Amino acid sequence: MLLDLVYFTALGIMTGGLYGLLGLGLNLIFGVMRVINVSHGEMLTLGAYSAIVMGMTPVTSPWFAIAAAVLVVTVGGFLVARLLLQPLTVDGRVHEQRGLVLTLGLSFVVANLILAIFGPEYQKVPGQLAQGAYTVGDLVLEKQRLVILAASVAIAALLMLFLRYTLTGRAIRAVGENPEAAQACGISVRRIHLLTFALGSTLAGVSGALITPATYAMPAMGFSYTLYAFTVVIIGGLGSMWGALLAGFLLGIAESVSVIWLPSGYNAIVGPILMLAMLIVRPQGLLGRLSVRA
Amino acid sequence: MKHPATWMFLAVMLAIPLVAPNDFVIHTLCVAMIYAVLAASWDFLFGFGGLVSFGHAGFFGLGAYAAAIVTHKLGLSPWWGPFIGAGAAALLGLLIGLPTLRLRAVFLALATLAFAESLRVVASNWHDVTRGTLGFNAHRTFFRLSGEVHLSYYMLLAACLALVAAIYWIACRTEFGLNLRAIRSDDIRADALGINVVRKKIQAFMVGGLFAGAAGGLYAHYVGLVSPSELGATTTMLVIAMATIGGTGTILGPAAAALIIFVASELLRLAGTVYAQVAIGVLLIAFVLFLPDGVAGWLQRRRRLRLNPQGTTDKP
Repeated sequence: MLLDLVYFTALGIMTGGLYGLLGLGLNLIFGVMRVINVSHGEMLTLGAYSAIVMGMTPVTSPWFAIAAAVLVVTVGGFLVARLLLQPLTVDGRVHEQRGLVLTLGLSFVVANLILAIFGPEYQKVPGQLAQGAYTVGDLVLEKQRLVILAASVAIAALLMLFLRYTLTGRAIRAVGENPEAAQACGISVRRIHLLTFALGSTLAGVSGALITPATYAMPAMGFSYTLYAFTVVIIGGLGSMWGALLAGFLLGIAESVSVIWLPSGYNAIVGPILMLAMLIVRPQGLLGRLSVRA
Repeated sequence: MKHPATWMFLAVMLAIPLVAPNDFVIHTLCVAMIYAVLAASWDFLFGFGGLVSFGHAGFFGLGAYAAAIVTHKLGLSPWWGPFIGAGAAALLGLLIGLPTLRLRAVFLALATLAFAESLRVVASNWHDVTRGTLGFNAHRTFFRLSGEVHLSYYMLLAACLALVAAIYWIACRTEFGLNLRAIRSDDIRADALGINVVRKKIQAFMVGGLFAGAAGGLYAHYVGLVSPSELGATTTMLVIAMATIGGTGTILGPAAAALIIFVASELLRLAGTVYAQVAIGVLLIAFVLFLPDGVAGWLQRRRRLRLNPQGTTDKP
């Protein structure tokens, strides 16, 4: 029993970093553009399938698979922001409801196009950075999952440093804080929006290239990852970067440990229930600021 | 119903089983009419209350499951089904609305999504009650299976028209609808005018859920099979696309668009479901970008421009 608890907690921590990364991207996009990006999970799918396509070429290094994912998703995110979201942007904020509906449509287009091209089968994704597993007593820790954890934390740390200390990062935060004032200071809000959306999407794409080699890829998986990202954002607090990271670990652990008590199949309910509970008890999230009331 | 187009539409709908007594045509139209009610109920929330329901599939599916399971367990006549479904979904609306409608619209959207997803997980896994992913088909149906195709068509047409008309009436002809519209355009001012904003929103959510649940009940007893896929995001997406393309804030626009889009997507299904989904998604994006008020909004604007070429007044 205790061993189970330790084992599933470890497993949860390893996936949790990834959830955090996913939530971080969503949070960044929301914080700056005020758009709830329902197609966030599809960016992850796009990343995973880019890695698959890269794996079909003679170049088999996992690094190239990840690079392909990053490239495709960054360009994709940039195009989405430029062609679809920019027309809905007024005074530095994307129209809230139209943004929601538009990204919903986008998520269906992407998921179904991938389904049309690659078929509904579960696919193995190349890009395993480390093979095998460590065994500590009875614990089996897959190396790939440890790599994912390390990479998630490293990427999150880099992002924080970028947002805190570079000029561009501070411009991004300024636009999130107050687009009009930022514009008045000479920051191009349009460009920051493009950059932010591409950056947030890239985070999702990297998540896809990291996690799917350890699991699998299928065209419809994006939606469940979108749901994870939302859950993380709600638990951590809308707009709070540290909150997203913390919530990612919490969600990962909760979902993983729930396997001990819940009958199989029900663990998908943990995320939505946690999200609802959080909305009722503490709508601003663990580390969010209290400006969420209507 | 002052528009001649409405009467023409009614005449066409009444004539269809006589002109084209084809099972496939009639069946498709019947399901399409149920979707019309669903799209109208979504529009009631969004177009009038400004509330984005991202889990409309949850209301619809809950209505369908509630109707199917309760009539099956208690041996009730299927005619009770839609009422039971409506009641269950209205309760769900209250349950979602109470904690989240005080918050920003974004949170409500996410909460409804989470609710729908939880319901889907439960429906897929609670084998004893819902028969899991196989779907629930033990309940009695109206009469499609007994062969009286025409009769079932007219019954469903009447029921769906009554539901859409009721939504239209509540939204456009009652004080409640006006209050909602006031809240949508400026909730702070509405509050200052003495409208209890949160309470009205919760009531709106219950009403929207009620009609979506009724649609679900009709669906369960007409189609005869309820499965977790009805609770999935695809249903919600379809409904939102229908409402957006038809024109939010008009009730009748989304209902008409639902009929056309559902029939079109069934026809496209012959080419492949995937392409139908892609086409609907692309259409939805195009409408959000270029015609955000939908077809009905565009027509209204044109008519107003014709009556008042300077275009000095704007939509309230």
